[in-house]
Amino acid sequence: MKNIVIAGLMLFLLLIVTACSQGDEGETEASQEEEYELTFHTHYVGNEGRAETIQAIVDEFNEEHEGRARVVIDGTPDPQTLYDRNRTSLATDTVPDIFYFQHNPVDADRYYGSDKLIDLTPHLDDGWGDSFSEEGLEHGRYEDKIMAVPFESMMVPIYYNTELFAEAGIDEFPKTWDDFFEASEKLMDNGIIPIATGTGENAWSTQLMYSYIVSSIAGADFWELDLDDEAFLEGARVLEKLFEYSPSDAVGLPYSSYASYFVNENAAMIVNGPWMISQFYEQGGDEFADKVGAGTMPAYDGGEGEQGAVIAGVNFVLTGKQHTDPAKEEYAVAFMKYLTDPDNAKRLFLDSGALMEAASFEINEDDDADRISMDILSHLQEAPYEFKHLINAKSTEVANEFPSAVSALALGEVTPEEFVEQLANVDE
Amino acid sequence: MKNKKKLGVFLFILPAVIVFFIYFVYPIGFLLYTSFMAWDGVGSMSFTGLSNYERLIDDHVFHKSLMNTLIWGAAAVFIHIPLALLLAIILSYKVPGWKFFRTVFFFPNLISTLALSMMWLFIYNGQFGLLNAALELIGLEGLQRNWLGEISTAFPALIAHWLFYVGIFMVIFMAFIATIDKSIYEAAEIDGANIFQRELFITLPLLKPGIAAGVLLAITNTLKNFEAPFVMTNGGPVNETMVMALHIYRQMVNFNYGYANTLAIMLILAGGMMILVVQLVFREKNA
Repeated sequence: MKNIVIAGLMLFLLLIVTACSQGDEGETEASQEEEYELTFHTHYVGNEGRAETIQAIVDEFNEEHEGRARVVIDGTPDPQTLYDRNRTSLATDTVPDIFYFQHNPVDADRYYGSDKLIDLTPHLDDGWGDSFSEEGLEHGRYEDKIMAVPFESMMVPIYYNTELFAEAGIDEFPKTWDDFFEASEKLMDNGIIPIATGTGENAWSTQLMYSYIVSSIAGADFWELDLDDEAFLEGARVLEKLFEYSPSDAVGLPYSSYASYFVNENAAMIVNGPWMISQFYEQGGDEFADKVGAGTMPAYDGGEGEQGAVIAGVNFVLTGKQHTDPAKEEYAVAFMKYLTDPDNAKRLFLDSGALMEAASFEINEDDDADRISMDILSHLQEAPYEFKHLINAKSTEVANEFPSAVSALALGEVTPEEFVEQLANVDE
Repeated sequence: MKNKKKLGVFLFILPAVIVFFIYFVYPIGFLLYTSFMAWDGVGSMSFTGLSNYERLIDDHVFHKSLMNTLIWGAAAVFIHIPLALLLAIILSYKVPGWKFFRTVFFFPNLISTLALSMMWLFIYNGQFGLLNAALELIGLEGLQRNWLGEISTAFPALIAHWLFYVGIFMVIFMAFIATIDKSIYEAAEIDGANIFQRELFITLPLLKPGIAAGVLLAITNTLKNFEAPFVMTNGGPVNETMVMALHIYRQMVNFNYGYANTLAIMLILAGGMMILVVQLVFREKNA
């Protein structure tokens, strides 16, 4: 009897252990007759400007690979939550089949060194690698391998409402920060909030402004300086002043709210990427979009930066999960190739203004290119130099500390000295 | 025969014990183990002794989040539960429209915390929020402010949005009250006890086990609070609304899994202590 019970227990435990050990590999080893399902993590869903075109690209891929592979969009509308999901997926071993992440050197090394991503190096030889610039590809390099390809670039202008500017008696976009604050005073006198920004979520636009300010003080290579350098301190003083010209509820204000200030013409300026252009048309209509101009970095009196420099470069890199089933991995790579195809990059640019990192597409005169997008492109071509913004240049720890630190600065809870010290303390 | 019965009992509880070990004991053990490690969640772990625990001493965000979690727990005990109790007692008198009010008070419990948080985010909005509009309507413009953006109001506003959703505890207490023998009230009434005396000396003492359960449930709920702070303030401004669960999450997405797990251990300890205090308080009064 005792032996029977022990044998029964052993069998029960064996069943549990077997059930628990059925990991994702069981799912990936689909037979050839089955259709492979690939998940694509993205925030390009819902009302997002790129969502419609991305869905069309996915549908076309699925149609072409019907019965063999199917890409399923796993959408997370909030970008910050998407980034968090991707980071935790590394630790929980639930890396999506295809995904992109916001590139910064510290996070990139964690992703690439995790041994959980596809080595894309052999797949680049068939011409795919030629779609990207050498500099762009460097973002995916880890040791002697390419673990990710550049996916989406950006050029971040300071959008401004030309009509509100004209009504306040401002003829052109400010060329210096002194002009910027002078213009801001005029706008305030007209009852207009000069700059729409906030410290909610990842304080997106505020960190862009801070990057612009510090670059105008210290020049192109300012990210090589320590975060408590005099340039960052001076930048913090300017940023503190900037909050006098921001919405009164800027502290804790999320992106959607301060973006509304601009689109609803309560605010005259906002700093953001080209993906916002579709929002101008969808929410404000053609009439509003016609009023939007794109400015670039003002110069700082006595600073090393040059007027017209822009925040630009690779923002997202595209990669995917390493599979034990080579066929599934092939399909994942096939989708990445299709997604980054120059024709699709061009479609995304024309449809939404997004600058996809495929170097080899050209805009022709008969293309229905939007005026603001073309302005941005021309600024990019004329820019004396480009630089990254804080989230792309520094570690996640710094990026996550920034909203709290800048809120304290805006509320007068900390001095600019304490603000830079707070960021420097978490900088790796 | 006796041994056979014991064996049967053992076999019956075995699956539950195994599940308990897999889903509770093992994760707690893992948390404890990794709390002594430097681990980014991706690479290998390295033993760092008590350094994660030493870090707690200087981590002012941890201090703030722990304090906020405790304050939220206290608000649950001293405001949330008494409010639920008061409503349960009133509605148990089956006042006109009591079924309607019971449904109204319970309804928010059917809505996800996320949706409620989004709604309150708009109510508290500094520029276009309903709260500021209401204050303007009644001539109290001076009280208008950015409720979730100012240090002095952010945390009270965050707690307040949740404080009045007492439906679930109200229903629990009503169920307890319904089990109290009506003849006790009748006897007290004959003896000249007024309505307040009857509630104070009959309902409350007999409801004590229910109140204890409610308090325990409310405290454990507050310890797990995440969605509302995440959606409404993300811990800001200046970590003023940071709670333990959100601080753990922040550390986790910063690839500080070792330290995040240390914080999780502290949360478990804080929860254990709060529950112990509640049990002691109720046991003492029962004696």
